[in-house]
Amino acid sequence: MASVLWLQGGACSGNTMSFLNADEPNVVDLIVDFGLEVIWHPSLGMELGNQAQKIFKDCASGARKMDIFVFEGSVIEGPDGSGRMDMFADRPMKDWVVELAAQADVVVAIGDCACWGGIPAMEPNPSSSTGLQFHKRAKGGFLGPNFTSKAGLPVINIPGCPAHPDWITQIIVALATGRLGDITLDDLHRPETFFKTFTQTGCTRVQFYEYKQSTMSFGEGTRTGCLFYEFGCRGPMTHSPCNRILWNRQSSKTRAGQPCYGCTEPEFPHFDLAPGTLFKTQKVAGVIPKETGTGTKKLSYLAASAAAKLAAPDWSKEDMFVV
Amino acid sequence: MTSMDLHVSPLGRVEGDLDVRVTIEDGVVTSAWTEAAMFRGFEIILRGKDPQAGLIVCPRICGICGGSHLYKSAYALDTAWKTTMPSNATLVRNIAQACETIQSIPRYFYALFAIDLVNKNYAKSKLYDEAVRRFAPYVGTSYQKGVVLSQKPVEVYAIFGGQWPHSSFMVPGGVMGAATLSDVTRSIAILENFKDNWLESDFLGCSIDRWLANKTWEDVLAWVDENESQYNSDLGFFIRYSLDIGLDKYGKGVGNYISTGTYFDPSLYRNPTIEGRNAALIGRGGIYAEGNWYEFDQANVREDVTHSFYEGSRPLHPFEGETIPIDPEKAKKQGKYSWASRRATRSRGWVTCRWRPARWPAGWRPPARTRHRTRTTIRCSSTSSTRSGRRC
Repeated sequence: MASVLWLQGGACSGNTMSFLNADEPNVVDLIVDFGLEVIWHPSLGMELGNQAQKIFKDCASGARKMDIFVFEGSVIEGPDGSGRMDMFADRPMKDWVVELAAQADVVVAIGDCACWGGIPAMEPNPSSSTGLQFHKRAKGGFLGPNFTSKAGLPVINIPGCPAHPDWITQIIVALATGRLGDITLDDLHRPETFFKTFTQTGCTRVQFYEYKQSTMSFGEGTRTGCLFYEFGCRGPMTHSPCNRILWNRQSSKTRAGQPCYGCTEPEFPHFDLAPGTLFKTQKVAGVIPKETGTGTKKLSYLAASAAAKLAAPDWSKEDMFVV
Repeated sequence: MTSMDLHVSPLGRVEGDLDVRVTIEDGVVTSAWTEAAMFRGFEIILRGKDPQAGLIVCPRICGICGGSHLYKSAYALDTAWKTTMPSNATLVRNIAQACETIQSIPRYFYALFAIDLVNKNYAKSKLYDEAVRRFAPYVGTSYQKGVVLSQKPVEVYAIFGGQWPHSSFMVPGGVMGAATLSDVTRSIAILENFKDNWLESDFLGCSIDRWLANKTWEDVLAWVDENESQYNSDLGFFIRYSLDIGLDKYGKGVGNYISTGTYFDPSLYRNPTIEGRNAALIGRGGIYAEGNWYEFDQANVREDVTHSFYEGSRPLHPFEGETIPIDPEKAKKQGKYSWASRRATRSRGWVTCRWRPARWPAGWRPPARTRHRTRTTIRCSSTSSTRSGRRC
């Protein structure tokens, strides 16, 4: 049995919508079978107005036990540090965040906005948005680099835009069933069980990556080829389980012919979507990808590429994902 | 005369950040103000970025309807760049968008809306216990089934677009992926299953065709009583319960509706243009106001920030729009009260309802080609008109 208070700051609610897609456990299972108590949620909570405010005040003062404080969306500090661009229950939301984070055993940031600032923090960041404990890759964010919750943990980051339902439900179940000790976090405070692999791990196009055969014609079904060489796929550089734990039980971006945008990494959206950076691999001298897979060295990568291309079988140059 | 001011902050379950202020005199609401409480500034963020940036950024306006922002962003680029759309791409875009819309029906109805029906203030109704059994949050029988099954239609979105929410698979000139045989057959099976195991079995209690045969409110009332299956479906029960607790007697909107229409006939929109849009629509748009129907013309739309937390007080066409936010504390002294702006059509200055029910009266004309389309129309005799959130 664990109690969760879930609030939203500069949010779109995409992580909530993703969460509602959960299966095994689904949202109802979580509550009925795993005994999760949803204290309040902006999309699901029954209470409105003063009734809801009483809940927040009781949690903030410690009068009501709150095991897990979940925050979705950025912490908005604008204008000028006042936080008035995000008012909630008669106060700036950021003021609620300070008090509630101090009372919870565990604080969880769900989605890129709460983890690193996300889309609202794109230049020029009109709302002065930031993440709970990071601003992009820099540790700090709203609560500061040294913040720890009552259970002695930093903010647990479950990034993504949105986060996958399993990343959310399985961490909540682990917390709720006392398996906090099984969760190991990487240096960006992401649970390693999800974020040590790459988007590329399990991608159906990885054989085309292996033989350096590029998709040449974007959107024509991408019936063949890898999206890394021309279309800006960040699969080899992005930590996610998207090709291990499928989306909506069906697919993933790269399986559907769409490049990975690297949304679980703090720099998302990459290059700030400057002109010419979208759906387009950034290259040196028009030929060599500027970024190669995490951990690779440029020169050995080029040597491996040349050899791989020579070794490429005929089928790797033909359509594979056919009707 | 007794007068009371009520400030509801927050008004939850609107997929947005909303406060509501009402003045109640002698038991009647005499004024109501909806105040959007949060600002991120998408119009400002998109400036200077890659023209296609909207495909990534705009879905993040909203999590439940992000796909509709992708859909419109893609068509905006198609229009600006004069692309040619292959037929299949138009069909895939239509299907994906329809699946997002279908998902939101049970999700919104049970998780966000119907739990209000178990408010203790309705306990005097003979149907109250049944309402609690079906709609109570988290434990209601219809709630549980409907919320869990709402994930099914967007499995089809993921088959074509990789994932839902927040795919960017619609690009200028079409879509990124092309279906294979199993994609198509699996999609059909998922939607058939959804129809058989929730939509027709639990929600309607009849076939979609039978429901669509209802053309008037009187038809709907007769439909409720027609047989036990319809009488006791969630929709049949909802209609009976709403009438019993008086939801048909208050909260009526202004009676004017606007819809821009959606879904395109692939043969009529190969080259998307502004001028050609209305004629190519399968789901018609339009304006229903003061008892008459009018064509929707984007040139007549104006955005008015006089009462919003932005500089400016002239109605502007969105192409000329300005987004200069002001500190709410300062802005309130100028009589501004919300981050949301007001949109109207210029020629008549009507206030219109752009919320979900507007699609039905505003678009009630034959589609571009007469074809069978799957659509549920929910005539919600809903609560107050302040239920519409910032994003809808």
